[in-house]
Amino acid sequence: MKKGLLVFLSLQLLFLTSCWDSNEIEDLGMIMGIGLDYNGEEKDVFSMTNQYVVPNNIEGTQTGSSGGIPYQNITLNGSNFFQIIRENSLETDRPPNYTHLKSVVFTERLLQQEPLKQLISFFLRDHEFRRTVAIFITKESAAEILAIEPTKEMFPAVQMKELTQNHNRSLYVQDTLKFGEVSKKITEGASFVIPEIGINNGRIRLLGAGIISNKTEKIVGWLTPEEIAGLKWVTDEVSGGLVAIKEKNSEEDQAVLEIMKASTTIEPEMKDGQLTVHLKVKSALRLAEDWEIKRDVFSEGWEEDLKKQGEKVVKEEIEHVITIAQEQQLDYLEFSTWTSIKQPAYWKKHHKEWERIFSQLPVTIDVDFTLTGYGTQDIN
Amino acid sequence: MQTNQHSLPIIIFFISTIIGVGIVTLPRETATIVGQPNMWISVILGAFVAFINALFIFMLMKKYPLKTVYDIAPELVGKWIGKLLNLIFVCYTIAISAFIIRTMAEIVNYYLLDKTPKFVVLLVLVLSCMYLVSTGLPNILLFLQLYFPIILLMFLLLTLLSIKNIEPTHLRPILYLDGSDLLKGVNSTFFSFVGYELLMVLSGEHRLTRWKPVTFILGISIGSVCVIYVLFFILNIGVLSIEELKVITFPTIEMAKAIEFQGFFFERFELLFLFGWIITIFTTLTAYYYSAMLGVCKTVNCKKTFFMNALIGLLILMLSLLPSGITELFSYGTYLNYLSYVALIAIPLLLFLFSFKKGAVK
Amino acid sequence: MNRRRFVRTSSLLEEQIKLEFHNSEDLKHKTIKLDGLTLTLLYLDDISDRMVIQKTILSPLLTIANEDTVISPSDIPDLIPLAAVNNIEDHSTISRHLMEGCTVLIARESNDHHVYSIKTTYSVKRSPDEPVNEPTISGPRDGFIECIQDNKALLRAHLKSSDLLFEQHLIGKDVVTSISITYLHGKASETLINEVRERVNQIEADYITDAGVLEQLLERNPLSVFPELTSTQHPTKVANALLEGRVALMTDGSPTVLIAPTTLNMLLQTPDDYYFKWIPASLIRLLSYFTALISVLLPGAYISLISFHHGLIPTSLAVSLSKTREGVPFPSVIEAFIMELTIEILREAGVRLPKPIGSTVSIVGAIVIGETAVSSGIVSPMMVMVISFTAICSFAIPNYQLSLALRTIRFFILFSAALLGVYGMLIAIFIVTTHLIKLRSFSTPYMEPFAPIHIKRWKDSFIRLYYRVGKRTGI
Repeated sequence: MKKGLLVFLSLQLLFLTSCWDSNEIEDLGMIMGIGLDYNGEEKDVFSMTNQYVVPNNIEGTQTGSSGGIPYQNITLNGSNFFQIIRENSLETDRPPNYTHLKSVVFTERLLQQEPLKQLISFFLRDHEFRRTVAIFITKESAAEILAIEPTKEMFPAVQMKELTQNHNRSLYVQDTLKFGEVSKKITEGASFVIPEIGINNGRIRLLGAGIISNKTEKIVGWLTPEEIAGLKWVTDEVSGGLVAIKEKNSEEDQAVLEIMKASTTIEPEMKDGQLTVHLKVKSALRLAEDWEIKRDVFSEGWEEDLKKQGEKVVKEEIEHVITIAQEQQLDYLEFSTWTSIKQPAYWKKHHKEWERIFSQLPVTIDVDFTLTGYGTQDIN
Repeated sequence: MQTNQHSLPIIIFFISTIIGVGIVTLPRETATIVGQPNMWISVILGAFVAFINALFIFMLMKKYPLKTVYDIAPELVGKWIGKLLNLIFVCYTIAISAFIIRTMAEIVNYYLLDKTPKFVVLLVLVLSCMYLVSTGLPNILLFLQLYFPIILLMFLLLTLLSIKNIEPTHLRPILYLDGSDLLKGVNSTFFSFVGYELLMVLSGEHRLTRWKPVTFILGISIGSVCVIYVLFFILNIGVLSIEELKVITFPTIEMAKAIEFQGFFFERFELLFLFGWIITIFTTLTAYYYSAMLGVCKTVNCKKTFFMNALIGLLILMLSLLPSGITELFSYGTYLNYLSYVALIAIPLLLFLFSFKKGAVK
Repeated sequence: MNRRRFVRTSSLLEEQIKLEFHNSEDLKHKTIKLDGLTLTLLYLDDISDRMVIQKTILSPLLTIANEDTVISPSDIPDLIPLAAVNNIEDHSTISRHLMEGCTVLIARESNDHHVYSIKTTYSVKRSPDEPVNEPTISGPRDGFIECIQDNKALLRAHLKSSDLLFEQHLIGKDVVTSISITYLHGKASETLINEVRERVNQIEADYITDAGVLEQLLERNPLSVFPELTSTQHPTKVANALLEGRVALMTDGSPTVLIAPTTLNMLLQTPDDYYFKWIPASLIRLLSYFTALISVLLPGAYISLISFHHGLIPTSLAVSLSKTREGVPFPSVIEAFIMELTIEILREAGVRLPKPIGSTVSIVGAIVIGETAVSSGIVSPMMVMVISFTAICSFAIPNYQLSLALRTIRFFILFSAALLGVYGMLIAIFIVTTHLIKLRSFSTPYMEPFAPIHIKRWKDSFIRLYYRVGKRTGI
C-alpha cells in the first residue's frame, strides 16, 4: 500500500524538471483591454490594440517608481487576431494573458465590414477570455479610446466597464453587455444593441448604442441616449434614473422625478388570429427637483398633474423607440422572446416570418406611475 | 434505525458513482436533442427508467445473497461463457473509467493546465486511485463518505452563487410540451444515471436481499442525483439559454465561469466547481476501477491483487489516451452507450432467464 | 551450628543481591540480631528516605529488641507502622523493589525465612505545575509529573470514581519500566482494553525511557506521520478521554500520558472547549479546524494561484501581486521553500535555546531576516505574509504531534502544487486522505465521525453543541 505513495513520490521527483504550466505572475503581460480597428488595407485588414499592465508604474505604498502610466498600448496589424496576438511577442517579452481582460472596443468601420459573429468567434473559442468581458462600439478609432487617460480608475479599459455599472443611476446608461450575452443573442438569432463609447473633452464618455442586425450581424444604425431610455423602459431594465418634465410639455415650470422602482411586462395576445403586444409599465417615483413655485405638496392631489405629464413623457419615449425598431424591421425589443413564451403555438408557426410580423405589430402602451413622495422638505 | 445506519454508506456509494461526467456534458447533449426550455423533464424520465432498470438488476441479485455478478455468471451459464460475460462487464467498467477520466483530462487541459501533457494529468489521477483501490472496499466506502458532504456543499454553493445570473425568460415556457422530443432526450439522460449497476458488485460484501431497504436505497440515490441534475439543468438553461447550450462544449463550467463578484475577496468561482467536480470524477473512477479489479481477480482466480490493480490501472490509462481529440472522444461516447446496453440490460436479462432454468433443475 | 548456618544462608541471599548490584556503594545493609532472629535491612541509599527507615523500621524493631519480647518473622509487618509492607515470595524481584526505593527486610529464624519490602521511597519531585506546551485559559492548572504514583493520585483526584482501574505492566529487558493501563470499567469496551493489553504485552524492548518511545512501540503504522496515540500532560484531558471510553497509558518516569484510540477530531480539541459557553466554544472549534486546513493548504494554494492559475485571482489583487513580485530573482516555489525553511529553523532554534534567549532569537530572526529579505528583494512581501500566517496557524493547532504531522504534509502539498497547480494539490489531498482513511488507531477509523459518517456525533466535532455539556457520548 505504501508502495503506491512511494512510487508516486519518486515519479513526482522525475517530473520536477518540467512544470509545464508554471508561469510566474510577474512574467505575464496582463491585458486589460482590447481595441479592434479596421485598416482596409489588402494585407493587414485588422489592427488590434492590446492594453498591457505595467506593474512597475502602479502607485502603491511600496517603494518603487511611481508616476508613470500604469498601462502600455501596443497596436499591431494583421489579417487575423491570433496572428496579431502572437506578433506581440516580437515587441514585448511578456506573453499576453487575457484572463483579466475587462473590455473590448470595436470600431464602427470594422462592424460595417465584418459580421460580429466572425469577429467574436475567436474570443469565445479561447478559454482565457471570460464570458464577463464587456463589449463596446465606437465611432472613433478604438486605439484612441484606449489611449485616453482614465479619471478615477488606473486603466481605461476598467473605467469603461465600470461606467456601465452606473446603469441603475441613469436611464441613458445601458447595462454592461458581456461576451456571454452577445453570444446568446447571436445563437438565438436576435438583433441587439451594443453600448457606444466616445470621447468628450478628453474624457471617456458613454454615448448611445449601435444596433446589430440579426440578418447580417453587422451594424445597421445607432440609438441616441434618449432612445436608450425608451429601450430600457421596454426591455424592463430600468432600475433608476429620472424622468424630466420639460417646460414645453406643460404650462408649468419644469420638474424632475426620480425613479425608485420600475417594471415592465410585455404581453403578446392573440385576438382573431392577430397578434397584439400590450406593454405595461409600472413605476414608483419621487419628486426630486421642482421649479414650479405654486405647487403645494401638502394638499391632496398634488401629484396628479405630475403623474400624467411623466407618464406622457415616458410613453412618448417608448413609442419613439418602437417606431424606429419597426421601421428597421429589427426586433431588439425582446418581443420575440415574450411571444415565444406566451404564445408558443403561434411562435412555432410564424417565427420564420417574424420580421414582417414585427414591423406591423400593433403595440399598446400603458404607463402607470405612482408618486411616493417629495423628499424631506418642500421649500416652495 | 438499524437499516438507515447500514444503508447510508451504500446510498453515498451510489450517488458518488452516478454523478460524474454527466453533470458537465449532459446539458449540451440534451439541448441538441430536445432543444426546449423544459428539457429537464427528460432528466426525470431518464431517472425513472434507470430506477426501473436498477430494480430489475436487484431482482436478479436478490436470488444470490453475498455474491457478485462475477460469481453467479459462471454458475448460471457455464464456466467459460460465464467468464466471457465477466470479461465483457470488466471491459465495460474499464471503458467507462477511461471515458470519464479522459473527459476530465480534457477539461483540466482547457481550464487549469494548458500545456501539461494529458498523460501526466491522467497518470497522477490513476496512481492516486490505484492507492485508494488497494486499500479495499470498506476503506473506499469510508473515503466516499468523507468527501460526500464536501461535494454537496460545493454544489450547493455554486447553486446559490448562480441564482443571481438566472434569467427566468430562458426557462419559459414550461408547460408547452413536445412529448416526442422529451422522450428522445431520455435516451441520453438515461446514460447519465449509470452507476447503479455496481449493485451487482456491491452485493458481494453487503447483504442486499430485502425489497424494502434496497428500493429505498436505490430510490434515494437515483432520486437525489436526479434532483441535482435537474437543478443544474435549470441553472444551465437559466444562465446560458437553450441555444447557447447547444454550442458550448462544457456548459456547466462556462456557467460557473459566468459567476463574478466584482470587488469581493474571491472574484471568480469556477475553481469551486472544478474542485467539487474532480472529486466526483475521482469517486466514480474509484468505484469502476474497483469493480474492474474485482472482476478480473474473480475471473482468473488471482489472489495477487496488487498486480491486477496495476494491470487495470495501466489498461484504463492506455485506453483513455486513445482518442485523439474531443470530437473523437465524444464519438467514442456513443459506442460506450452500446456497451452500456449490454452491461446494464443484456447481461442481467440473460442471467435472469438462466436463473429460472437452473432453479427448475434444482 | 544451626544458627550459624542460617546466618550463612541469610548472608547468601545478601551476597547474591550485592553481586547483582556489582557491590555498588549505594547499596547499604544493616543487620540487627534479636533473640533467635536475624534481621537484615537492605536499601539503596540515595533513593530511600533514611529518616523514614530510621523512624518506621529501625526504632520500632530496636524498641522490641530492648523489651526482650519473643517475635517470629511473620509478626514483622504488624510491628512496622507503615501500611506498605509487602511479603516477597519471589526472590528474583528483590532487586526491583530495591530500585523502587523500598527497603528490603530479610528476617530469619531457624527454618523460617521471610523477605519483606517496605516502601521508603525518597525522590526529588517537582510540583504538578501547568504543562508548558499545553497551557489552558481557565481549566485546572495541574499537570502530570515524572512519578507514576503521583500521576495516578492526580488522576484519582480528578476522577473520583470507583470504576477507575489501573493495570500495571512491567516492560523492558534491561531496565524495567512500569506502565499502567488506565480505564473506566464499564465505559471502555472490552475489545479495546484487550487490544491495548495485547500490544503492551507484545512490546519487546530493552528499555523505555519516555512515553514517546512507548507510543512508537505501540503504533502499527510506522510510516505514517500522524500520531496513533494522543499524548498529553493534562489530568483533565485524560479524565475526559477516560469518560469517553478511551484507555490511557501511564509510563513511570514520564509526565506524558498516552490516550488511545486517537482520532483526528480528538487532536483538534482542547479541554478549554468544554469550559466556555457553547457558541463561542463552537466558533473556537471551527477556528481550530480552519487553522489546521490553512496550515496545510495555504502555501500550496498560493503557489498554484500565483504561478499557474492567474485568472482566478481578483484583478486588482493580480495587478498588485505582479508589482510586488517584480524583481524577485527566484521562482515562487523556491521562494516559498526558502521561507518555509527559515521559519522551521527559527522555530527549532527557539525551542533549543533557553527561554529568554529563544524568544529573542525568534524575534530578531523574524523581524530582521523578514524585513531585510523583503527590502533587498529576495522574497516578495506577499510570500512573507503567506508563510508567516501559515506558521501562526500551525502554532494555533492544539496538539503538537498533529502540528508536526501537518507541517510534514504541508511540504508534500506545496511540492504537488508546484508541479501541477490546483490539480496537483487536489491529487495530493486525495492521497493524504486515502492514507488517513486507511489509518486505524486501535481499530478505530482515524477520520471518525466524518468517515464513517456519524452525523449525530458531529455535534462534538467541528462544533460543540449545547447539550454536550456534562454528558459524554463515548467514542
